[in-house]
Amino acid sequence: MTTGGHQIEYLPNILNSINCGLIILDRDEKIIFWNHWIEQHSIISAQHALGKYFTEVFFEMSSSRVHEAIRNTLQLGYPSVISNVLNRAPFPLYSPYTLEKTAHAQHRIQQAIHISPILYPDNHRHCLIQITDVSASVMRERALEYQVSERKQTEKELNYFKTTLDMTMDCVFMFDPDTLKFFYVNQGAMAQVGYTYNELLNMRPYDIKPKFNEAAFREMIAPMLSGKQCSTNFETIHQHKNGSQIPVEIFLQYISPPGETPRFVAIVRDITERKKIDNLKSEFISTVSHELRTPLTSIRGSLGLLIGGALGTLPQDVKNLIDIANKNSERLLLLINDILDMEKIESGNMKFNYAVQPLLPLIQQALVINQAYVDQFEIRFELTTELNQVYVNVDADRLIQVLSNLISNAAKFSPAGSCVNLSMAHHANNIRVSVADQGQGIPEEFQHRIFHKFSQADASNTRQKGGTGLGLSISKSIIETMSGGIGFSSKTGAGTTFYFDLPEWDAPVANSNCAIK
Amino acid sequence: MSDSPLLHDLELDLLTELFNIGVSQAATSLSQMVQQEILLCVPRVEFSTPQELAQRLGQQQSVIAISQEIDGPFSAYAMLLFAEHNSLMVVRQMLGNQLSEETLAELQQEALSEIGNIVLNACIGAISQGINDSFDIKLPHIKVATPDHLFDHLFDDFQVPSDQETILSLHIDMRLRDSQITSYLAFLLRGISFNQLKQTLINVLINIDTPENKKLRR
Repeated sequence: MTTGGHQIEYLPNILNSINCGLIILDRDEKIIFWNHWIEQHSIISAQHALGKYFTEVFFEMSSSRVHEAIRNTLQLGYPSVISNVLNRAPFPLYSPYTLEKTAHAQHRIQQAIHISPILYPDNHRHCLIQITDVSASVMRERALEYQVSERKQTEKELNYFKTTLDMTMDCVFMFDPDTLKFFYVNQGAMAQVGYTYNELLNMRPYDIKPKFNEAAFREMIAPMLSGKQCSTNFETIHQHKNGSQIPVEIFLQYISPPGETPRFVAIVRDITERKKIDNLKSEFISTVSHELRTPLTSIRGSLGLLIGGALGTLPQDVKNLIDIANKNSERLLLLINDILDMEKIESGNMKFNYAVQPLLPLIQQALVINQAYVDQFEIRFELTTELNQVYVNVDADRLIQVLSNLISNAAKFSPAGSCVNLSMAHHANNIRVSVADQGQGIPEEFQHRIFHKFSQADASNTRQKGGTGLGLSISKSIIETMSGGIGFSSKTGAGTTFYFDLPEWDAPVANSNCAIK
Repeated sequence: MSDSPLLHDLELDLLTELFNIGVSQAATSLSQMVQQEILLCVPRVEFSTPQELAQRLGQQQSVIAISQEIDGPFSAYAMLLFAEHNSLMVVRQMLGNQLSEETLAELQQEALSEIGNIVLNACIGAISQGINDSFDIKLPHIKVATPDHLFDHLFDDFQVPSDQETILSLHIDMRLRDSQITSYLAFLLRGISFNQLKQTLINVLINIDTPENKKLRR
């Protein structure tokens, strides 16, 4: 036998060990070659397949795309590519590694098929079918498709949120907590300050806030960075690129989600209109109050004279009516004074005459002033403190006004015969003055509004308890102006404690400057 | 585009006609496969240089070429050419595929091979029938290249002097769903093959039973 003859004998061994399926059909579509790979994947032995017609072995494939391609090859000599994408698993072939060989279409391996004509030595056209298993590629591609569609979805959602934020009419600024540089501003923000996006990326919040410098700004955000506070609300001024100034209200929040870069987000609202309206309102209230106070003073004076017997002794029924008129004109005057105070505080026109002075005498003085008022509620006041000599830097009249407000509130809202406790103690670096009553406590739903103007827990109570609802709001403003803080703790049914904190000062020494301790 | 002195108007008409028969068969097969209406037509057949064809395909973008070598009455490379983004659109429109435009995954290439194979076989088949002869055809292979490099080395194989490099090119308009996609079918002919093609066409034209031909034959 020649070397060439050896090669031809050797050929079936090669075709049987090749890692793809090979079937050869003669011109009548009879199977004349069936390699080992096909045996394994179809579970049909060569012995069974050889000599049979193609459609006898693969009955279901009669007139299929593959069958058409085979005919084209045998009759016309056209080769065909049959892709997995356009024809899912045409041959009933299964992975030899799956234990359960079910003849279910979904368990078939994915196939890429090449059909080409080969010229047999007898000069007839035969047909070679090559089948490759592309299941792995299909799986890879499906995973890729899934990833792509998921990424697209995420991008779409992100885009949706971004455009919403971009288009929001409120101005949104985000900046880095370390460098303080803006890294995002929305369209509203750009419009408000007149800078472009890229210009703002090189700027910091205090570059557009003339009332702040870097140190002041860092001081303001420090409590948020240290976790003491998560957000803050404040009013300031923004300066437009063209120099004009815009009053704004800013809600600033520190956001530090786990695994993400922490950042500050500021939502800024232009309050020009609101400021204008507030000013108009204040002016109006101030004018009206002044106009009311003048005639009221005369009415009160006249009533006082009548009660004092300037026109002789009045008959009892007349005296009763005059008493009612007098009490109510006093109440009206109080209300007008409160409103005028409020207006002064808001417009910054309230004058404070600061002096470093001992705190205890002020408290005692407030108690004396309010004694007559307190007595009508049959309430006892107790003052407990070990701090006899502590000094504060305050306007004495204003502090007494605050104390009077707290004392009269405690008296008003305490049950008859109970005791209100006044105390003074160190708290942090401050002096804390507390007024604790044994009243009903403040309803939880009202607590957040307690320092708002015209607030009373039970509006229907106003008549019964009296008062304007301005006292606490005024007290808060006064204490804050004097560098202090005011607050309360309350339990429904177990009384309320109002307190204010003021910085402690050293005792004044003649001819020397005072200093905060 | 060259005004073709190479082929007579009648010969070009005949070729256009044959190719239209071919692609309409291909359109039918494709429509059945993907179960949606696909229309194919060949509005124009012309001769161009490789540079002209490259220009028409757009210099910048990649082109996908599915080519089959044919041998018979004349020898040629038959190539179906798509601008890459068009080719992706074809696969996507046919299959509703999710993959992004940047990704020409291997299975998509295979699908394009099949689509190209069907169109090429149909066109070659139509010519075979028209000239009543047959060709040996090789399996298709796919190539992604810029238009400038698409025909690299192909002419070398065919031993064509560079001044004679001419491509018989067909515009194929493919209409599917809402889009119309233009692809090109190019026949790169061996130098010697061109004369064979011309001669074959002349033979066919002479044998067509027109009144003029009858007169001529008499």
